[in-house]
Amino acid sequence: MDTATMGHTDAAAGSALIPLLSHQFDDVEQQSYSSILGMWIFLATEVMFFGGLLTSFGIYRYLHPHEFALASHNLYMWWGFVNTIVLLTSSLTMALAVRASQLGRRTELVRLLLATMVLGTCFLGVKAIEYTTDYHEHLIPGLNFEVPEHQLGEVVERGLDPRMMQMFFVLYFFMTMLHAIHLIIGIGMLGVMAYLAHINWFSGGGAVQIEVGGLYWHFIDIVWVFLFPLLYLISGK
Amino acid sequence: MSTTVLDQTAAAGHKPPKPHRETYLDAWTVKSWLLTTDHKRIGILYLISITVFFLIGGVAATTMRLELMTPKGDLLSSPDAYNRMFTLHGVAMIFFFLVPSIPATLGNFLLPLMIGARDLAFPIINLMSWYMYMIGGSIAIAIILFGGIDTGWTFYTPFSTMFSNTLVVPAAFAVFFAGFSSIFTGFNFIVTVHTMRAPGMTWFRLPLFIWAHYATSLIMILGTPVLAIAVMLIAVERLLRVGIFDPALGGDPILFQHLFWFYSHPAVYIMVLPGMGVISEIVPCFSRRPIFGYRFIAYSSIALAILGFIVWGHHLFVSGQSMYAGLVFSFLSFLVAVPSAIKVFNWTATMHKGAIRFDTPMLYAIGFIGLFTVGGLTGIMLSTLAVDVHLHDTYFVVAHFHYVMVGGAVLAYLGGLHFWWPKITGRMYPEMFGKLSALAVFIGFNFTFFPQFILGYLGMPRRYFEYAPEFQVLNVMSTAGASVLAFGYGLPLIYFLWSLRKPPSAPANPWQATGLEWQTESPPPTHNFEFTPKVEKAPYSYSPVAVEGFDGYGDHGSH
Amino acid sequence: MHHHVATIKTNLIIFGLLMLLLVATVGAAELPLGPLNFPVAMLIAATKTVLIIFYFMHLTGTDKLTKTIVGTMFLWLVLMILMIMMDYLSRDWLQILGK
Repeated sequence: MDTATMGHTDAAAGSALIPLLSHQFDDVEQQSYSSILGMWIFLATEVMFFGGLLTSFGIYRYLHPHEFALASHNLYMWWGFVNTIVLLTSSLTMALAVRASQLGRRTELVRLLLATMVLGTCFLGVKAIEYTTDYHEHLIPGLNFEVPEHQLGEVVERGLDPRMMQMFFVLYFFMTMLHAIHLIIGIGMLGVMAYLAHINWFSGGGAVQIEVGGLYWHFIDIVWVFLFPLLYLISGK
Repeated sequence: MSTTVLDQTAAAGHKPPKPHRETYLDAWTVKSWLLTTDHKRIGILYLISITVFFLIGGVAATTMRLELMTPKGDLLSSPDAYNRMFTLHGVAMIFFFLVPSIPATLGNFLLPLMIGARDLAFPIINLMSWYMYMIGGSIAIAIILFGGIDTGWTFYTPFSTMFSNTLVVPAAFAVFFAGFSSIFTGFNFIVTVHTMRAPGMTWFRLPLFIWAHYATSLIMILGTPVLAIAVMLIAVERLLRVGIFDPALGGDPILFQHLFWFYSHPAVYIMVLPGMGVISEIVPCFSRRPIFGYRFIAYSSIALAILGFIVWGHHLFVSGQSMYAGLVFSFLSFLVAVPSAIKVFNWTATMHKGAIRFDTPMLYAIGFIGLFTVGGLTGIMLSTLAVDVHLHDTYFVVAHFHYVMVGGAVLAYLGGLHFWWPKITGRMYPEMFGKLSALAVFIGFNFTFFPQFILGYLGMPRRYFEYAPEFQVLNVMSTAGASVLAFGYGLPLIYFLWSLRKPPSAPANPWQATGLEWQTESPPPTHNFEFTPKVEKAPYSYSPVAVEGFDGYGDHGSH
Repeated sequence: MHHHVATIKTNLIIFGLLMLLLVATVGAAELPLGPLNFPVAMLIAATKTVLIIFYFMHLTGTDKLTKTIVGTMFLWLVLMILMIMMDYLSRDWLQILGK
């Protein structure tokens, strides 16, 4: 059985930092280049995956700007703000983890990966708090959505369409949940990598694997960089 | 025509047994197939699975054609049953047969061989791609068993989300998984072509088959995720009863059509571009001439992939899309004719003054060129705004896209299968039956679908199971043609299997072709090449003289 | 793989810039910019993305091909959004329902 990007035998683990070569590649250079290139191309797919949602969101927001702005005011901007800080910080620790792996500092690498995972989990925790609040405020479409009482007057007065306020929340939940799913996968992936780094499994020190994982993690961060202003900062001014 | 191919196989049987040579087909345990990471074996897994879906889709098509023999609905119990039938036909044929057909079988098998690599860059992901396909396919089969789905393969909202009582959500998941299988294939191909070409295999020495697959892969990775998200939105809307596309809840159903066709129009090029790659291999080989305008064909593949992405709005001309957007999309659709025509002209120019041999692959290839041209030109008619108002949703459209997808993609697939069958299995197919099947497919196809152009022009709408009595003659013609077509499809299925009964005996290069894949044995060894090949020539360096050495055919070359 | 290892200092500078831009985006949302609010927010997000991609994701150290891929993916996203928007922006020009 061949292993595309990772390989391990006891012999190789001893002879430090020369990655095992899968049979289809000619040399290590080609192997690591292919892995990183592959991740970038996969991210192109991910961009279009989120892109379909962003387009839908953009169009409905263009068609119904007032409803979207009003609905957006029900979100707690500061939670989103805190979460952005958390996620950007996790990107920093991830970048430093990649650096540690490139320099072959294994203990530092494991610690930084764990820090990244903790920050990712914090993000999910904050998201869970937000979702709970949304549930109590009856903002979940398909479950208990109703226009909040304090906004009813404005809705009637300005002749807004409450269905489009629900639409905002449909897209809000879809996008943030899809993002959260990616984050959960990312945390799991980093967990595996941290463990493998800890037991010194990577035949080549793991620099390529950590780099590839890092690309995915930073991508999740970038998605949030766009989601935050799109969802939380719709200004009515 | 003689049966020299058969003679040759028989003759091989009399030779003293050769010492056993290691091939990729040696291991025959179930595990060796289900856990294989060899691109050649995965190609064969795909070949078997897509054939199953081709048969399922074919049964649905047969039922529809039989139903349409008479103006009254009498074979199927209800219009709903007919709706389920054409949906089954569309979903099976498009998502589970045509999209993976050439890339996942021939492409998987040949791409590393043609560029001189030992495997694709990510063999495990390649296997995962097949499993994704099987998950999606199993869901699709379960849907058929548990009552089907009646939305058409396009899943248009709000019917699919609010009104259909069939299994739309499972179908969305089936399409989602099938989509990811093709994303995995596409991304593997792109990385492989970039990083794993043999020494000397520069971009402009790549076979045009590779260029076509590279262009196809671009569409797969950039288009498919949008389809995935569109069907997920449908699933969410149905499950939670919230309006995303439902106008009654404030949504816009046309937005779904935009997202859907952003993938599904380029998907037409996923189906036909690999076919064009196959034709670009077959035509020079059987004309014994270098391909005419290599760079133009290569660039036109990329141009088709790009242009294919910006024309989808022509599916929405009468859906309520803005007329101005319609104008832009109409104009852009006309542009697609340019790269398509470049290819057709270059193939014909390749054949001009060539020493043409009419073997089965070439017969299929010539059929492709003619039928694809008809399909393409009727596409120009349909992308004309005013004409489309008359022809939209009629049988004219049905005939048009069958000329492209069946006359184009399926003929190329069959031609390619005949061309590379000796390489894949190490056996020759019976040439006479091959020619018969190519002829039957060509005649049957035209009899089936040409009357539908007329029917559509006269105003018969598609997707109805009853029709006005004056349309009956043409419909009977179409059904009669379909039976010839079915015969033409059935033949290869039988003789390909029949050819497997004897041990491999095909020569390494039965067609005297120039590609790298012909330099290794038939069937190839597990690691493809004994030594990493070095490429020193431009591709398609054919000369008419080489025809004398055509293996296994004696001296009756027709030129 | 053998590209230059980024220093801790570079990483921290990028992180600092990202924080500044985050504050800027929240601040800009409070300004009465009217229709310019949205483009400004997107511009800031795009700037953050560029910083992350070039420095955290090390695009600076890669070859032309990787840069082309990254360029293409964003180009395609913009293409999709613009071409779908084209329909919605021109929907009412004719003043005929459904055209």
